[in-house]
Parts: sequence; C-alpha cells; structure tokens
Amino acid sequence: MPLEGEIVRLREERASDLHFLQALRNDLDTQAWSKALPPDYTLEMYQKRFQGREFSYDRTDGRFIIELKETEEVAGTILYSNLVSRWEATIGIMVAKPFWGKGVAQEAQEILLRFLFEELGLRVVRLWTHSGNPHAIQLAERAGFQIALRQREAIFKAGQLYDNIVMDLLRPEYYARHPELTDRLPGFQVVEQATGSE
Amino acid sequence: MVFSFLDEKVKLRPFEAQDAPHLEQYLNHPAISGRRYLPWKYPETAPLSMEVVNQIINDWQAFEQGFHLAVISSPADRIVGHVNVDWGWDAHCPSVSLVISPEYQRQRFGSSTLNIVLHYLFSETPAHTVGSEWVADWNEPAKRFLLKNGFTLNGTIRWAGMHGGKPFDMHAADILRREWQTRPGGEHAAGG
Repeated sequence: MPLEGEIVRLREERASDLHFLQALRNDLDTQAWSKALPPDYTLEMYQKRFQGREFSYDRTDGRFIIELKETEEVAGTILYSNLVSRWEATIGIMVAKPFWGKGVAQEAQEILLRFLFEELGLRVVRLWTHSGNPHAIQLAERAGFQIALRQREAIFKAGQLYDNIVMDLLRPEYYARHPELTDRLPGFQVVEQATGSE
Repeated sequence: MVFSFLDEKVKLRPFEAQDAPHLEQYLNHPAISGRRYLPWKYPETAPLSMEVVNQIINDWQAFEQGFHLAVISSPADRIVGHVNVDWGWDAHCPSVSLVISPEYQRQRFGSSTLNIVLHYLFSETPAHTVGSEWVADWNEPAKRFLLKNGFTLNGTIRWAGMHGGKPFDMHAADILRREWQTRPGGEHAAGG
C-alpha cells in the first residue's frame, strides 16, 4: 500500500530534509508545546537525531515527511509514537505555514490513519493537543476523533493558560467512516479465566 | 522552614534496597494487579521477580524529574505503599499516583499521603494544576478516593487496554491550585 493520497505522499525522512525540519521546529507557530522550547534547534542536533536512528523491527515510532506529489515540495512532517503493538499509537503532525488551508494536513492524517489501522492493526489511535489550537482539534474531528480528556489549565503557551486535550479514535469508528474498507480483525468476546479445578 | 514529608499517620521516605521484600510482596498481590503504577517498562499485571523489584527500586532512586517514595505507617514503621510524583513533562502540571498495599487500605494512609504530596507540590514547586495518573474504569475505589480528596474527573480515554476479555477505559482527574487552597489545610499552601 503506497502511503499516498491525491495531493500528498508520506515518505521516510532524508538528510536533505533536515534544514526544513529545523526551521519547522524553530517556528513558534508550528510547534505546539512549551516543552519543545527554546526555538534554537541547530542543524547539527537534527543530523545527530537522524543518524541516531538504527535499523530495527521493534521500533515504537514512525516519522514521515509530507511531500506534495505534484511538485515534490516538502510540506510538513507526520509521525506516530508510543506504539503498543496491535493496540495503540499516538500521532502528531506539523505543516509549514505556506501549506496551511490546502488540505495537506487532512490528507496526510488520513493516509497515516489508514496505515495504522490497516497495516499495523491498531485498535485505537490517540493524539494530544490543547484548547489554544482549534485547527488541530477540527482537523482531528474531521477524521472522526473525539475529545476524550481535558486537563484543565495544564498548558501555558503564548502568555495564556489552555486545557490539555487528548483525543481518540477507535477502530470500529474508523471503519464506520470508511465503508470502502472492511475490518477483518475479530472483535472481542469475553473469555472467562480458567480456575484450574477439575 | 524545611518541608516535612510526614504527618501523624504516615512518613514518606526514599526506598532502600532492604525494602525489596516488602515491595515484592504487595506488588505481586492480585488486588494490585493492573494498578501498580510502575515505570512504563515494567509489567502492570505479570508476576514480578525479586530481581525486577530491585531494578524498580534502582530506577526510582535514580529518577530526577520528581520522586518515588515509600509510604511508612506511623508509629508502626511499616511500608504500606508507594507514591510517585512526576513533573518531567511540565513542572506546571505534575502527575501523582499512589498505591496502598491491600491490607492497609481504607485506613486513611492514602489520604494522608496525598495530602502531604499536594501540600508539597503547591507550596514548594510552581505546580498550577496536579493531575492524577490514569485510573482504570474498573478501579472504582481509586475514582472515589480522588473525588473525596478534591479532584475533578476530567475525562476518559477509551480502550486503554484489555481487562476481563474486553477493552477498558481509563479516567484522569485533576485539582487546581485555587481548588486546593479552599480545602482544609490548603490555605497554608504558598502563593495564590
């Protein structure tokens, strides 16, 4: 299954992307969390991170570049992390400002969700955002995510307190929104624990 | 004034190597299964060997972005549980989790411990809001405990894992500094 839609494809990170990723990270408008501050990430830091990725079949994350199919311009980055095998992962997305409002993030999110549910067989996908980022909330809601949790006043950004928000999307909800797909994973039946007595 | 991690009911202190047998005993108690609140790499349900329990103590001792303390009953001086505080994500909103050994539950050790920890966080750190660690939906006593101690449930993440043959949900709760300050004892917390 190619990781692509009508306007974007997701591909692996390359050394040539590092300048772009550095700039994206150092833009206060495109990173959501105070934790990521200060915006002084150097190219060397990104090179080190890039070179630090080792070959493994047991990785718990995946990082992709969002590339426009037509021009091969790099538009953003999308990832999943905290993978629990066959159960859950958390996604995150950053799109460069020139590509906002063009459907790039929405399509990239749909491509990644399809990969997570169809290829990795996940039961639930989560994401974290905050109440000061309504575009991220709307983007997630368009894909079927629901707000699960709202930790009050837990985020401080741009001089304001916001609620920390966790959203989730269950496997049955995803397939209900995609009638073109069939979920062939079995559901759950309650299994009683054997007592060991004869 | 130095903050004291004690009251008339409990004393909180770091774990030591000699605590391993006590810890191993209650962590492996079936009633604690699924709510041990250990570092992520350790299982929440599978039996734990003494070797693993020793590793857990080492990890707790080395932790730098918060603390993991043994809950000691007074005056009997017995380990009755453990409490974890983690401000690694943001010192503004640390999280707290607390485990009391089944034989010592419902004797106010948990409330005393939580009270000490909240007092510490709101008077000795920049915490603005304190969150609970996740509480499984089947763990009704923990939910009641949080509500009784002034926390507000702020949501439920769905399908946090499997329990009893089906997916279960997890709740989280929080308490704001200003809410804590209106509770008995909370007015002593510094700042406003």
